[in-house]
Amino acid sequence: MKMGTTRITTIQMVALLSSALIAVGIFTLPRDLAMKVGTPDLWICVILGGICGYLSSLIIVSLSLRFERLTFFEFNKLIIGKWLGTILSICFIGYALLIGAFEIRSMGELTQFYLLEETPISVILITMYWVAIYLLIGGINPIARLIELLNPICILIFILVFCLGFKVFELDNLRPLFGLGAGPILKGMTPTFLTFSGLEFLLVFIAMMQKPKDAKKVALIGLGIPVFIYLLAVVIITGGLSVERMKHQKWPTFALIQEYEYEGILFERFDSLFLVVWLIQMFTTYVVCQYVAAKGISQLTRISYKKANYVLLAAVYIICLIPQDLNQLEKMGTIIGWTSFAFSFFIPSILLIIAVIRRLKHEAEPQNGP
Amino acid sequence: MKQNRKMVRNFCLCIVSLLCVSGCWDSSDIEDMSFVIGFGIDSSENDQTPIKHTTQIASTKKKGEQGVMPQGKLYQDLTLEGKSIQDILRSISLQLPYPVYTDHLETIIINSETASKYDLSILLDQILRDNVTRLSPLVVLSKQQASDILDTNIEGEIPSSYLSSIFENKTTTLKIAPSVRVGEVSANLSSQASFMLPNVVKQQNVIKVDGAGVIKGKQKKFVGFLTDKEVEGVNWLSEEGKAGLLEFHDEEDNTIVYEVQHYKTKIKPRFKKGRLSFYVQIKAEGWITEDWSRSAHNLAERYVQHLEHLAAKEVERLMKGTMKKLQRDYEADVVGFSESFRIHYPRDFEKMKKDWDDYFADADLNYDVCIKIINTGDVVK
Repeated sequence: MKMGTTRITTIQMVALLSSALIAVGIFTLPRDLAMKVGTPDLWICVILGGICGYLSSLIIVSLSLRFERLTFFEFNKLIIGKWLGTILSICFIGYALLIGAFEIRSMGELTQFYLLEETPISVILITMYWVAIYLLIGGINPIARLIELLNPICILIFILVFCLGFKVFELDNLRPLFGLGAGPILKGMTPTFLTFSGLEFLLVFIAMMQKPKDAKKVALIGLGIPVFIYLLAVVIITGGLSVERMKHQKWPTFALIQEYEYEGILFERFDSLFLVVWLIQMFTTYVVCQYVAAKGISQLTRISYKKANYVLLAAVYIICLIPQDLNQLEKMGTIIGWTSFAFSFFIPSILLIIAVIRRLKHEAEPQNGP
Repeated sequence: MKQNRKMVRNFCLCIVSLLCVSGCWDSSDIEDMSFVIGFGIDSSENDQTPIKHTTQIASTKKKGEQGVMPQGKLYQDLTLEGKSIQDILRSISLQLPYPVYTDHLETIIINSETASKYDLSILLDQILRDNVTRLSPLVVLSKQQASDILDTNIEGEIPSSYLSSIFENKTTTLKIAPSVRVGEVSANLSSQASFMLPNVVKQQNVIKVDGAGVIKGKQKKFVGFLTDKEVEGVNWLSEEGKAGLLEFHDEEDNTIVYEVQHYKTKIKPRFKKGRLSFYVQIKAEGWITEDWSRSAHNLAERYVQHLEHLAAKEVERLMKGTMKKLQRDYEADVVGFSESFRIHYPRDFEKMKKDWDDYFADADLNYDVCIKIINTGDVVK
């Protein structure tokens, strides 16, 4: 492979990170928050969750920067030895597959519920897989380029669709602030933090950046965009539906979009538009997950990246059909959330501490060519 | 040889790719679909089939010749009886060849007697669960049979979409009850809050919005009606209206009409030692658009002040009448006082929200109405 084709620019990295973070949470977070918090203060949780996410991403960044040009799969061996490192890597691969499978399954469920009622779910899933594998075979560069292209459009449409919800917005639904004190807000911290799972992929991607020094900036902007989108969603859904209603709606986001209709502008209803954009986001999240897993396998074993992709495709398909119904799928989401907490905060901090104590550092050899 | 094999390969590829070119095999023409515009829910006398459900379908089939306005009705009503709404909807397939689509539903009419017999969340359950039906259709009540209302023959109109457009008139009158979407109904039902649904009546060939019905939060059932005057009071209290008229009389019983341009209502709750009271503060601005009194001096400041005072009194009278009915007869808070209380006393509200209507019924009220006349019209008498 030519030099330069495996590197991604800073902007691509921002798009990649924010795409990986905007996923099924758009649909599930509002209800999770409403159930846990129960007061209109739930939007504060999103901000706090974002701040926590940024702090843990700082740990990840400083860890990755210690080992220039090495991915998580390579440098964990340097820190905690070959055996433990391999086990950790395998866990990380499994975790990435789990997220990928979860996202693609949720996507399938929602598509079936709202759009393609009579299509078997496996057909929806398999078409997605085919498109994904075509993209994945090309390596990181096409993925990054595609996401760079799609991400801004998706974000614009998200903002548009949510802002149109102002038609049914009532400020009173968001009042009072801190009505029942700060207690409920803390309860809401877990679902929000879990929504921002995907941060840990930075452990792999920083090694591929053209300018790894920008990694902190990437973490800030790449996290800031999803936080803003989630914040907007939660604020407008709370204002439009009221907390009480969010608890009883399976997918409050969709309920909000279904509640308003506009006459005279290009579209009267926005559900399909929103779903299309959301599908793109789910797709990119899945692609990123699978890329991480395949990359991990190719770095751990002798299996080539391409072959690993095909093998993983089967694995993801099997994993994603494990949950029998929506409740089990939701449980799977919670498990993922906690694993994410381990991988985005717990493990990086331990690794960082060990690396600092042992004064481990790795410097890349000077690059040849452009 | 090599070329031959290549040709065979290409040929096979072409055949296989034909599978993907399925085109519009799954298409259905818009004429062959039945778009449901309105639902009507009544109860029937038969115990075996307690629900009488009317489905109003827009006629997409052209009747008569092309270019000529279609003769007759623009809609088709199907009234069926059954045990569940979903079953009734599916029974339509027994008599109508075209599949039924509910995603363009505009109005749901519920017979008030049915609404007092059944829990409203049961009646609307199918609509809320369904994945195609949106949450934007309006819900209205009616004293008459919903099937009768849906069968009002208005020239060139479909009754249910006609009805839903009437509610756009809330800028011209305060006597119209604010429209309520299914989504809002479900929100109120799930939080056990009382609310108000507009009432519609059919008089010969006219559909009319007339007052409103009160749904009590705890039972989720219909308890009684409010007249259009009382709805006017509710609009003043809840700030739900946009603008409209206020008719009042001077000492000699001359009618004066004040047109409200915009108004603001502030509810200040007070909760001390278990005693609940509300301070209602209203500020309105508007014009005098009709004055029957002969002694009117439109420009005299004193006269305008006098009118302002009279108008304020009238608003207070309206609100008091409404509150009396709501507190004594129905014990139902449909004016949204619970919202302002929740905002001011969140902790107390957590404990009280279960029996909110009882607290509401015992609450004291103080009014402060300030009416401003900013224009007296184009006439100088």
